[in-house]
Amino acid sequence: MHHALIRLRTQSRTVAAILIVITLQLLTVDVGAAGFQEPDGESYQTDDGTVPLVWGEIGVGPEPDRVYEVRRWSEGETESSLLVYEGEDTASFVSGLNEGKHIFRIRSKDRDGVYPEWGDESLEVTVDYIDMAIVWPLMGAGAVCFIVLILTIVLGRRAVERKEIA
Amino acid sequence: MVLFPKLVVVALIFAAIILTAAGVVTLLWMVVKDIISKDLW
Amino acid sequence: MNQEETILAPGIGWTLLIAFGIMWVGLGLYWGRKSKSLDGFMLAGRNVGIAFGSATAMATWVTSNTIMVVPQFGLKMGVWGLLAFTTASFGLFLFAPMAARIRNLMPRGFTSGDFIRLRYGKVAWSVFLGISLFYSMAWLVSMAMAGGIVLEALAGINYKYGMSMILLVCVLYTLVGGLYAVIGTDFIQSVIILIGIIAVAVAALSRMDLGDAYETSVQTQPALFNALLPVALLSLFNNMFFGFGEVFHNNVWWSRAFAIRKKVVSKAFSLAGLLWLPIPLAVGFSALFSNSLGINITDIDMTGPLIAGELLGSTGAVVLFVVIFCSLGSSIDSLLAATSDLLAEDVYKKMINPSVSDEQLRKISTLIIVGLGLVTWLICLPRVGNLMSVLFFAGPFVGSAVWPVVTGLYWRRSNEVGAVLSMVCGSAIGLYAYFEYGWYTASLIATIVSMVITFGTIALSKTRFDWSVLNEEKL
Repeated sequence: MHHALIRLRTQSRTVAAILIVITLQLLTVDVGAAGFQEPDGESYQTDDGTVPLVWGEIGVGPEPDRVYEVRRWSEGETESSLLVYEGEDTASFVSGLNEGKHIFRIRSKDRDGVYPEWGDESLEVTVDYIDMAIVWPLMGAGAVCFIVLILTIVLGRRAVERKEIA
Repeated sequence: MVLFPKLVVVALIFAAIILTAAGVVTLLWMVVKDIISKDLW
Repeated sequence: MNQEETILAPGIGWTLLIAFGIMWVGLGLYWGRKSKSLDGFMLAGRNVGIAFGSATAMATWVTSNTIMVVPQFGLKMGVWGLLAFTTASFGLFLFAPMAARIRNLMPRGFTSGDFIRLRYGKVAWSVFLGISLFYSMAWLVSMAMAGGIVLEALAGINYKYGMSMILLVCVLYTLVGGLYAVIGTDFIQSVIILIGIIAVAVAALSRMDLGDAYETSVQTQPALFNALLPVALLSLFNNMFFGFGEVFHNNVWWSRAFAIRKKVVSKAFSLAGLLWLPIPLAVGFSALFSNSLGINITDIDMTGPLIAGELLGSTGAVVLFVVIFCSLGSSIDSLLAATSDLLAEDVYKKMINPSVSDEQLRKISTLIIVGLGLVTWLICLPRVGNLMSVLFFAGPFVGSAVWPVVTGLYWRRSNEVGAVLSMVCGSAIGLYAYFEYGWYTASLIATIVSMVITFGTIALSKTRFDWSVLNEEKL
């Protein structure tokens, strides 16, 4: 009897352990499965404010009928996040980001399912535009070159006309 | 950050489309004129 | 909407391709009756009117890049990106007075190479031909390749077949019709292109309220509307000088300067610039509002087709297909004709066989067109990807040619040493900038360097050029 009780207890413990493991696995599959495949790594640097995102279910092949939600949290902008994309596509070209740090997160669900909580995994995109201290001098030189070019053509043409009349 | 004002963006877009349309009309009108005066080539 | 699907059924794509192909070749045969003489074949009799003249300059300048890359510029660099692209039309505006000057100085000239050879001498001529042929081949190959890629993406036509078909059609009608066929088809193509662009733009406007769309996009993609976006500001002058370099040096434009009637040549180029000016904005503005339109751009290279397909469904895809085919045709035919002129006149006649008769040269010209088509086809066959980067790579080279051409046309003191140095040093330093700072600085820096050198050598120069040397017939 005692033995039977002990066995039952150990059996139920094993069952509980297995159940916990299974639920944990299920949870991890659901919580951490969707991830960014491109760009590689956890951070990305850009000088033109764009980032080509590609995502999918990590570790498994392409899953049909999966709906993805991609959001962005941006430094210095609104407290809440902005929706980048929601739907069944597995890529999006993001552009028009302001200078600074942007955190992208992704989660997925079945078409009729419910989104899990946001996981810890994220992609940090740093936008660092070219310094205006380089831009202005180049722009200035360009403007001078442009004006001189126009003057060369306009004055040259006028000189030719004057000579023709003479 | 200095943004392009809404009015400027909208005006630019409409101006571009109207100018493109005016371009087609001009081309067709000119070709008719050139055909009539036998100035095509 | 994912990457694998095509917007148009392959059957429809093939039908359009063959129908338009037959039409262009038929028209080439019809107009080709006029092009028996060398002047007729190479320069359409030097008497093209204002309608055909401005249409051909405009249509040649609308390339597959204009349709495909402009939306990308909008999506990446916003309002300034689109405005930067419109500066390409400035090249046509500024070339207008130059074209009149060219006609006055060289009443019987054939190519831009002729000008550099007579104006500066053989060393400058060799450097110039190197730059010009490299640029022309890069342009030709990048367009044929882009054409094949677009046709495959739009209608699932196999890349090799689509690319071959485009080249075959263009080679055939340029071959049978010469510049007459090129200019005549350019007119029809420009009308189709403009109407197609308006159709897609109106469809986009009917799908959104511009004011609301602006509010949404400013929230989600603020940098696109940033009036001080650094990359876009730099690309403004870079694009402008790239455009100047392309138009001022390339024989595509010089052959038109020689072909259009002297009285209207200046007006034709100005009008072409005006026709071209609004196109980037009209083509690309929807890319600013892709978020508001609810269009997810999965692949930056397909921005234009994705938006047009989403806005107009399969009708939009048909319109876009036709517009792209027309813009490819109108540029590839011009490049084939103008580059074969350059090779026939500058390389064959001036370097290999000076005693060649006009009749023989016309035959040689046709052989060169076939050869050029074949070489382009062979380079394009292994699909090495989008060759756009190669074209941008040519930016510093053509940018460095701006000043030798302009000062050579107007200033007696402009000289060979200056021309050679400015082209070589401008290209070299421009290339350095390309790798060191990015493509959006390369042409800008090349043109500035070339200006400084040209002006320096002019200041020190004792040359006083005799303009009558340019009129070869008199000699």
